[in-house]
Amino acid sequence: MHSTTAVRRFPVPLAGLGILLLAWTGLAAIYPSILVPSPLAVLRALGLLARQGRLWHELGITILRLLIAFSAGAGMGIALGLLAGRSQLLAGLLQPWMSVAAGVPPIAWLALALVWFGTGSLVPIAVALLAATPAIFVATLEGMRAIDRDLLAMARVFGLRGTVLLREFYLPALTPHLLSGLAVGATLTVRVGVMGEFLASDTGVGSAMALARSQLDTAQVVAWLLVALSLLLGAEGLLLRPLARRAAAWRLEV
Amino acid sequence: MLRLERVSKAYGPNAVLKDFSLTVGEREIVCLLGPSGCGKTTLLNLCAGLLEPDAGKIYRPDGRPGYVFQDPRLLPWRTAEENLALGLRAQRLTTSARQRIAAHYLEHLGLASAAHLFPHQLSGGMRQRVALGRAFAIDPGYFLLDEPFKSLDVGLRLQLVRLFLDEWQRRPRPVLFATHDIAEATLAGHRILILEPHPLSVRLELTLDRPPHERQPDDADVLQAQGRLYALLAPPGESSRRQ
Repeated sequence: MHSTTAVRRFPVPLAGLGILLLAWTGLAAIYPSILVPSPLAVLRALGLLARQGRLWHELGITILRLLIAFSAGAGMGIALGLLAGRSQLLAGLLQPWMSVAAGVPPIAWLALALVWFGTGSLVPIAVALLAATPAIFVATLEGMRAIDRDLLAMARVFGLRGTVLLREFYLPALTPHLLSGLAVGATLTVRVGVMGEFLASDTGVGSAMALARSQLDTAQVVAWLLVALSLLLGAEGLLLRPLARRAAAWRLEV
Repeated sequence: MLRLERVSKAYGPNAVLKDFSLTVGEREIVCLLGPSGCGKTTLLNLCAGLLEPDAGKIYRPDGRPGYVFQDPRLLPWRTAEENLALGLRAQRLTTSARQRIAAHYLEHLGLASAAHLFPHQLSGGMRQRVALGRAFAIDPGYFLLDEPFKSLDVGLRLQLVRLFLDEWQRRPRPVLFATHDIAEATLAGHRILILEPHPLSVRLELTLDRPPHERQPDDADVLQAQGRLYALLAPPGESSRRQ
């Protein structure tokens, strides 16, 4: 009893992070900095990028691309999931599309996107979109299949339809599924989007990482890696958590 | 008037209703007494338009049905007030008109202090009162009650029947009231139908003369009707032993 309370009070993930930093520092002491740059060197590289303004410039471009990909993916995934939940026929028709989009490795889509779109913003946006949409679609469809039929019948009897039915009934009922779908979708958007930039773009965080790599500036590579990580944390903290908190407010009232 | 004409409904090979006809008068409360699974819910869902009959015709009064289900079926993410006003959202009403109607029924049903609570914060009786208010609020063309007070204790049950009769008295309209409870039926019904399953049919019909809102649970005619219903519904072994 005592030990579990103590564990709960102590921020265990923070300790995990500490151990990670320690291991990193240890490895950096053993290996040359071109293989494993020290945390301090990475911090300096990050500081330099910030002072030069490159950090904000590339970050801005990447955020814009990822936001476009994510909102389009979320919009499409949710809309198609809602429709497929209403119609067995549409669900059957969309199934193979989503399986192909989700099952083909992102790198293969990237190869095709390069052929189709050249090397613009469209490539990272397209591959991120293809990765995020099926995840959000599947979560939405699962939510639709878990809908309480009796509650839906009640809503129908009381005349709810169209946008009122969507706002009063479907969206709140689907919230838990939508949130988990959006969380997975956001993670995929960042991962695949930055990869797309790395391989097929000359702007953005991923492309800056590729440039630093080609210059053998490993400290800067890791600095950009931290920036990409902060994108994930930002999506979680600024987008998904507030959404979850608002949506779950009624559950917390005692 | 609510009328079913030779209505049939089957689930696969099971005929729940077959050539079933029933008329509920403009100012009539018809109570349906019958075993669970005899098709009362199917009958009510047909009347509500939630199910389509396989054959036959259903004539409904103007206006929506005020349906009170067996379980309250409240939206867990909406407050008592919002749940009560749910049906009004489908109508072209101003927000203030909606709030006025909701406030009236919250007050009438003794829910004023619970207006901003969510369903999981309410007791079973309060939840069912919200469900009752939701049906009242839309000023329905007819009422469909599907054993709505089944899970409540006797006192609460009779109190809610009373609240229902008050609302009905304000504006009489056709009511189909499915119930298990003989006391409830004799208190509320102009007519009580004893139903049999496979397919649903009326075994017996009992008419009570005095208007429901004038009756008390311990009035002689109410008790007498209850006695008759108990005798009718008792299994054959019971009645032969008594003779």
